[in-house]
Amino acid sequence: MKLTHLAGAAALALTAATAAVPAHAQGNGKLIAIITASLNNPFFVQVANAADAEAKKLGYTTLVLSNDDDAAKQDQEIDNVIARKAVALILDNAGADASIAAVEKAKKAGIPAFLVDREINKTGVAVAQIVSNNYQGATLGAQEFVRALGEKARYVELVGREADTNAGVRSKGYHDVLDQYPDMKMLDRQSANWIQTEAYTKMESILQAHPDVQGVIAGNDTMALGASAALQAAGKGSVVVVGLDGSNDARDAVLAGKMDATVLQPIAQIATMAMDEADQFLRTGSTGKPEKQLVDCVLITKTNASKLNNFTLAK
Amino acid sequence: MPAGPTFAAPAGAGRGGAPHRLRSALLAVIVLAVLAVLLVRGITVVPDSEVARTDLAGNPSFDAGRFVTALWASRIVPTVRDKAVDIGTVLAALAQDPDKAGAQYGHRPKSGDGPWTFIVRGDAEIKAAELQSRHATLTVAVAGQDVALQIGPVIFGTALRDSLPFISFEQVVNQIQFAQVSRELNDRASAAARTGIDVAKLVPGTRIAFAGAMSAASPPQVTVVQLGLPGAGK
Repeated sequence: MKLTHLAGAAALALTAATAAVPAHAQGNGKLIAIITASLNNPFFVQVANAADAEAKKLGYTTLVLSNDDDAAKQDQEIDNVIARKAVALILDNAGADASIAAVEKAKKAGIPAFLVDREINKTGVAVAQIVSNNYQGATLGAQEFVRALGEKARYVELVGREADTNAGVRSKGYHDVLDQYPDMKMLDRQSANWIQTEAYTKMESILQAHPDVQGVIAGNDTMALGASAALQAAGKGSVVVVGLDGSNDARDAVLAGKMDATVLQPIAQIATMAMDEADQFLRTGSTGKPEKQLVDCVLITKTNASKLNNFTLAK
Repeated sequence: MPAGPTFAAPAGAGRGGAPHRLRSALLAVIVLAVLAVLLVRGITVVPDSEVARTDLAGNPSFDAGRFVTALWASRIVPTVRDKAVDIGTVLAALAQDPDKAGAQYGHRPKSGDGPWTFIVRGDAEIKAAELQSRHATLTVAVAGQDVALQIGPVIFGTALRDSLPFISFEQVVNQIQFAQVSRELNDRASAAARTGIDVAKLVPGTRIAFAGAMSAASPPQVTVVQLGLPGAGK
């Protein structure tokens, strides 16, 4: 698996945090903390990059950190953010329940939190929770999956990390559609923890048990790509593979015919929205929006894949 | 509702004879009336959000069926019946300026950035019927565009939920519950659309009347709530 360029992008994101700031913008060089999940996934690199770029544009300095999906690490980082007297926190959190206390701690220290990508299971703690409509996105992917398979097929589902709310949300979204088709038969359902290499080995073993599989629907793109690679290696390139996220790697796989579709989470837009709302909140005391905001996902197939780059679909 | 204690008082007051019994009967009627008001209010107005918010602690046991039942006959069906705008008017306005069309004829939830949604009605000839798919559709031509009328049982999208101004993301705890509301609405729409309809008669060339919800997304796709064949009186 080619993860080297991802590590490079991650390093870039972290370096960007220390860049200079135009003093004239309204942020006046105040510090905004940006904490995202594991930077070995380009998705989270994009969260950090988009939020960071918007913060710079608005005249803030930034502190970009990764919680690596580890609630304990996130907790230490929140302490750090409080000690550094950040004026706001943009957070892609490390667990819907585990992160409640961390956000409450920031709030108590006077740091408003703007959550992106993942919800926490409590309202009234964060100022904003802006998330992709994962469920809507999953139903789009499942609708395309069913269409590509002619409403009748034997398929396998690869699920994300069970502790992450989005793994369950997407799986429910998939099944909301798939289970309405009596001729869609699920042969197996396994978690590959969002990870490409894990999806590859899981797919290899699934193929041993079910050489007749016709479709694979995965909870994210990295797992879809891992499954696709295993299928290609086994000479089963005709199996329909659908992922979710809208990464550049998945886009290329769709264009090459190795994946049927992915679903774009407009995460760059979400991260930018969060930063804009943080800025407005700091200036006026209100974002002007409800706390919970959903941003719709977009289906990506061969017809529009070429317009996709860095989680943004060109008009 | 704890009915026991409420009825205990008038029963006790009635021990003294006929006038008292009359009074207690009256009291019971009043209590029942109050209860009925509370119950009706409870189902239609107050608890939509309360029911949804009770399980913030963790495992939501949200009942989307109950949520939708409380609204379906009393508000949703009348809204579709009374507020629907001619689909040709909406499509023409959308082609001109989507935001203007949305502001004039549609609705967009505050909690998202999704497309405008519209409650529409129309009357058109069936151009094509795809009834073998679980996602059955009737294609009609409106204002020079093909419009897919979804009649289920599988309905795509959340247009119906998002077109109703009295249903919002803020009323529920998370996106799963919000999605369950949409699924429940879509299931009922499909059932309502198909009620009393002989599907075999839905062939190209037949004229149909319909009402439902659509989003500004292209190509146009309507979640049908009401479907009528000529003379079917629906």
